[in-house]
Amino acid sequence: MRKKKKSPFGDFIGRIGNMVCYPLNGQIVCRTIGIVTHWSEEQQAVQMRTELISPILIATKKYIDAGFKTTPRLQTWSINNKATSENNPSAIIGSFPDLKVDYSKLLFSMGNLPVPKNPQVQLVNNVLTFSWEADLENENANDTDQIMLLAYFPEKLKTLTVLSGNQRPLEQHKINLPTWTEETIIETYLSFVSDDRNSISNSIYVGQIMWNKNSAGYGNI
Amino acid sequence: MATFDPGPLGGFSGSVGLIVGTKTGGKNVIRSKPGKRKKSTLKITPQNFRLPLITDFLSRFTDMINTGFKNQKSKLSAFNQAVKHNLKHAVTGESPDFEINYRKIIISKGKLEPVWSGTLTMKEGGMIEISWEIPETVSIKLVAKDTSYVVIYNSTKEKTICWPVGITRDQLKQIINTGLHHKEGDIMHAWLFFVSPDGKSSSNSEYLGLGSVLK
Repeated sequence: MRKKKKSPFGDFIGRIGNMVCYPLNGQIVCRTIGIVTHWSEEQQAVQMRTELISPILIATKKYIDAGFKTTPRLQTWSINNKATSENNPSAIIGSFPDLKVDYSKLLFSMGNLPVPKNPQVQLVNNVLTFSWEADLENENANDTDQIMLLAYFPEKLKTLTVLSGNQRPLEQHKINLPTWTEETIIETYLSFVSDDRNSISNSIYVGQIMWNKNSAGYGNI
Repeated sequence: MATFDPGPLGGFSGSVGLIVGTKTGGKNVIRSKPGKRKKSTLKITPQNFRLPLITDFLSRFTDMINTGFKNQKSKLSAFNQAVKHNLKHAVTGESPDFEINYRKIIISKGKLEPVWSGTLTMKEGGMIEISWEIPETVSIKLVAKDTSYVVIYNSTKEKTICWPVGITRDQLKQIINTGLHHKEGDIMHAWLFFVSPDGKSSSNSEYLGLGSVLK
């Protein structure tokens, strides 16, 4: 899909052969249309990357909406466009067809606040405990900053999200997990958000936790 | 087959010469006149076994699928969306011995808060208890009045119970009577999903597991 610049003949909207032009978010875009019988390997790689990233961004939409709300983006871009461009292809590793997601490189928020220092996560008795260092010496850190937490279950495409967690100086936030009977993986992330919600930090990967019904998990970078 | 926008005189229905005008799914469609059909000489493909398997199965829950998929932005009908998804993900095995993977069957799809910790418990007297939880990270005010939709399938007798009764999410539990048609030892599979009070949003459906009826 490509953008079409205005020509002396004005904007064309409609279909010519296998090309169709139409307005999208205030600009005219053109793309091919019709049944495609063959995809090149590069095109298949793009499709596979989208298949890997899109379900994650859909499942974490609540966090991303808050995390990229203040991030500068093009006027015609949605928040989802910005989140996709930050994660695809930078969070994908390997070469086609063995592409996979590198969960440590996923970015769910983006901004100027300093990232949580020395983040850790622990699972004991169904309680997920996130901890961090307050780092109040940093000139951009404020003691009214709040933590944002994300626990992502990649096998079920579900998330537990906290957008207004404990304040920075408390250095800890606990989440009671729902009952779980199968072994599952949890990927965890943290961000700081300012009290007025106008500044946010980049999200940081805390670690992967293997959750078994009868065992405690522990993870950090 | 082609679609067209009706002019000032409206759409066109019926046959003129070699073309036929009709209305399908709200769209005006023109297609060629049907001729004599020859018997297919094509060999039988795996799709000939796969498609009837999944459509026969899903047609038992048509009403629930119409509720669960109706809010998806797609040109396909709700049932066709369900067939498309389940054909791709929930059919296993080699042709012609295809089987349905009940765990991967989806009856509803959407962005509403998903089902957390859904369980199926068989009780004496042919009763089934369905339970779920609300995590502490979810706002109770937002999800409390979501309505539960339960689908139960008896794989022994190939019969279905659909339960679109207004149990709200904050009740955390629903008890269903299987009735007289389901006998002791019949294997039951269950799925659960939620629909928002205005009916405009639904959650992904969750497979709760299987159990045998206790009488």
